[in-house]
Amino acid sequence: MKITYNWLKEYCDFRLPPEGLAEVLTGAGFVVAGMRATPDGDHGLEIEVTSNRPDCLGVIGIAREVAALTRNPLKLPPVRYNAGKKAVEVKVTVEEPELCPRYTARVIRGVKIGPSPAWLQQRLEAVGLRPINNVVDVTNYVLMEWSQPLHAFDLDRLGGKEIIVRWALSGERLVTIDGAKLDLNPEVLVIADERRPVALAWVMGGRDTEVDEGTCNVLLESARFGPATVRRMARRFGLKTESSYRFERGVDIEGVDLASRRATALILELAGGEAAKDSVDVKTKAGARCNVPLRLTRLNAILGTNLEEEAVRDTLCRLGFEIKGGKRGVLEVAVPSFRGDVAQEIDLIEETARVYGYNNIPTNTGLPIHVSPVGRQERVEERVRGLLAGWGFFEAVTYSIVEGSETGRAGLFPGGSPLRIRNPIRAGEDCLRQTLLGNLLRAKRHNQDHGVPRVRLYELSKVYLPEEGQKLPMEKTCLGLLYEEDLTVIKGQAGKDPFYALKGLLEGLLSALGAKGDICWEGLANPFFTGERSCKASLGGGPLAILGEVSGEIVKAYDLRDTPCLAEIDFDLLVEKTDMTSTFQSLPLYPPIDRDIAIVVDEGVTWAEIESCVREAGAKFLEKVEFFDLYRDRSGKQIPSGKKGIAFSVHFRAPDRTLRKEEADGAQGLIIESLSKALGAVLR
Amino acid sequence: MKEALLELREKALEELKSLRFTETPNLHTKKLELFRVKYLGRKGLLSEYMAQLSTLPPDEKRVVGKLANEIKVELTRGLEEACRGVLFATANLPKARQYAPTKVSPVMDVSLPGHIPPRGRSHPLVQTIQEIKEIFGRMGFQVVSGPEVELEYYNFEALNIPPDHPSRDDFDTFYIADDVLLRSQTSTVQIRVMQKQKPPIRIIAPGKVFRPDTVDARHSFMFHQIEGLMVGGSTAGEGVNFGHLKGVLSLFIKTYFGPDTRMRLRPSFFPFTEPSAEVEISCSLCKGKGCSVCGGSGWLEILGAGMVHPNVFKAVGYDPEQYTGFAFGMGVERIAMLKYGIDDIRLFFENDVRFLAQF
Repeated sequence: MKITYNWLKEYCDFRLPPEGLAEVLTGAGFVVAGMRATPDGDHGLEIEVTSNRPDCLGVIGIAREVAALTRNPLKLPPVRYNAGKKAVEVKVTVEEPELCPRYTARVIRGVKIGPSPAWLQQRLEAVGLRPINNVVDVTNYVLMEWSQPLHAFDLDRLGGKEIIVRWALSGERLVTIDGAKLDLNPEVLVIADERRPVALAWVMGGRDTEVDEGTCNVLLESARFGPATVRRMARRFGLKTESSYRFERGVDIEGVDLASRRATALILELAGGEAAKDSVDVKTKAGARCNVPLRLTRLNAILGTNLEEEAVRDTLCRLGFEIKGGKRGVLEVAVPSFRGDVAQEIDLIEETARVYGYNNIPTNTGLPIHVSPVGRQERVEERVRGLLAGWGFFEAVTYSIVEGSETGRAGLFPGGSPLRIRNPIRAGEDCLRQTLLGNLLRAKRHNQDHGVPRVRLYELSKVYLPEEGQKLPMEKTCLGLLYEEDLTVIKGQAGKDPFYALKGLLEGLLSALGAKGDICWEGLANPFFTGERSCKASLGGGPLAILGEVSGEIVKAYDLRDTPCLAEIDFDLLVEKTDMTSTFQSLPLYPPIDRDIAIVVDEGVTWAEIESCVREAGAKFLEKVEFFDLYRDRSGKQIPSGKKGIAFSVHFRAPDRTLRKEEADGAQGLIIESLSKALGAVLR
Repeated sequence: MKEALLELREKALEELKSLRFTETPNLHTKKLELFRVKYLGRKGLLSEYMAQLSTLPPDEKRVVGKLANEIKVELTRGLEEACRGVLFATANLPKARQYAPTKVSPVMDVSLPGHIPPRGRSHPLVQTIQEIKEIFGRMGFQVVSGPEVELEYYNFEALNIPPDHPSRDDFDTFYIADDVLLRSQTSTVQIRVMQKQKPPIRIIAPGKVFRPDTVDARHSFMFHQIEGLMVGGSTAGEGVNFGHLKGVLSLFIKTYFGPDTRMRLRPSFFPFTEPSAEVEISCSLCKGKGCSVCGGSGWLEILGAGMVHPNVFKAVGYDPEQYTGFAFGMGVERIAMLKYGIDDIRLFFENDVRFLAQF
């Protein structure tokens, strides 16, 4: 909202330069966002007014604040005028009194339309309004002064001598003063004459009845309309005017008439004419003044201050509140009609604090001790982040809102139709993600396009899974991983198989978190991955993760130059299964006997089968089984095609004595025999 | 004989020392070779003494033999070192006996870079949240979270923002259904926590929020906030007041932005707090003198705060006469941008490793 320095000074005689004024206002919650010298030697101030203070959307409201803040008297402009002899001769009917609690009309006959005097034009320009003619300019001037919208109709162009506030009829139209043609309907509140709508209540007037050079008689309207109604209509027509802005926030019901008088006086002064001896004032709701008790103890308990009753009383009075006595320690405060935002004790406490100065309230660091443990989720997150950073992963944060086309591919959780946003900012970008994988691939793509060829990325964030019969979706925290081998590793050595590298990372993660329960790895069919180079893991029977090398189709879809591996993990399940407490186990007293076993089996035999066969062979003292090599012979000389060589080591140990060689031999024999019987394994 | 050996050792070491500073490699190697022949050669001085060992009585033989051997080892090592001194480092030093002055072995270059293990980072926004969490954690605030897809009630009504209220203009919101939305503020978590728990409460709630803003260098339709709430009351001395709000925030600000940072509050309006305040800190860049970052004012807005509005307490079934509290909220992106001097909010969501690796 814009006002000028000199304008303000007319209503409050403060002694502050413009900069000082800006500081005082900002400190009281009216941020002066800009200040500019005007050609006529004044200063325009751009003030940010919070939505609870419509009274300060005018010079008088700000003047009242300055008066309270600088302890100077407030001087209101005169609202008296000399009325003529003729009556108004206009009837006003308000069909919707709830939505229009007060409507006043004044008539000024015989005005002479012309340009406004320079001082008025300059003021309007300084606050960003275009001067039009003396009558219209007065309505705008008073609007900026009293924060009360006014409208001047050309009385002679109104059909009949009746003004009706009513809902529009279907099919009615209105051309506004700025030329917009609006189709009306019964959900639009209008000001109508006997024949047709002449203004939108109270967003904007109509062109047919506007005041121009030919106008002789003026009907001046000043009213209050319901904030919610105006807000809805302004939004519907996309019209945001100085008037609608104020009505939405609420105008002073008493100010309706005061502003009308003030404008009438100014019109008579600047455009001549004669005001009707009476006026129409349809007031369906009395401006009920509300009384709010303020307890001093409560005020000091909320603020942490020791304010005296006298000081509080003085502050509130300067802001326009009236104190009606009350008991000791309790002020009965009558709230003036222009302070619609004040209805509770807490509002008065804020008013007092605001003028007293937030920065004068003593800072108190003497809080009682209160201990809160670090939550489980937090601790797991911290450990996972630490591990992943150590393994070269950068954390990504990506948008939860994705394009509809991205949602066709499910990650760990089965897709289904995603939640859609009704009002997206970009068409198509309206779905809530159900997997992190797509976004990780896009982050990979971004890096690839910016000269970072290989990356390891992770995201620890939510996916949104709609649930049948529930308004809110299930929000699952997932851990997404995108893995690529380091370029230097690839150059220097043969390199690890990135699939097993990522699987190893996941296993390492599980082990570092002490995840409880059996982990089971199985093959997987998922659109992100190459069929056989992917798998899923379950932990304690629940699906935990999917993992794999992205398919050629995905590589193409995301325009990648490499083939990264991806994993998606149910982080909530991980947190649930995590056990980060450590328990000591005594170190073994006796040495183990280690044996390496190399076998040849059919291609179809899995390590999981071999391992469980070894464990179930009934070999005594078996402590550990460790895979260490997979070998295939392309030539078919050492190992026939269709077969593969597997090498692993087994560790035997007796808890109470040194194991004898013969005992290990026996156990090893048992294992080999069992492998041969169950899996057709042959020793290499 | 023992004395003679020790004397020989003294002399040899002296000579060796002088050999270290020869000017040219050729001359140096020549001199080293001469030294080797003189002392360690097959007909060298040390060999001469060794040959005489057999003439000694067994006791002395053992002592002197040991000494002779020690001297031999010492001189051999000294010779190797002298040779390295000029040639820098030689990987495979020839044994002194087979010392071959003309061959130059591969040279160890210790200035080559080592094998640096890969190191990732957590995201700068996450780092910022962690740091803030830690500071409030020390003041007894517990970390909680709430849903990002919310019922309209939690985002608005319960927070004293009625329908068609103009303050809703400040909270443009993505809608999923009539009464389901993407939360536009983390204040929703206040309500969820208070519905479940009685005071005393000290929580902070970091998380994502969404607003339909067009993306540019300063706006993003998704960003992060941290909400804080402290409620106390009922028994004497437990009440939480505006002075405590200032206390907690000033402790946070001085810890996070540095002990010289000043804080100031000015009145503002949020429907869910009253009195409400906008909190500013002295600009860390210009120290309050005024610069481009703070728009010349010397002050930076960093968070909004206030005393919990009685209507909010009523909405969660607390008696506002019995309990008082404060709440605050800050934008994580803004704080990270100020702290690290980042000039474009979009960088946070591009996940360019060249950006991520800077934090």
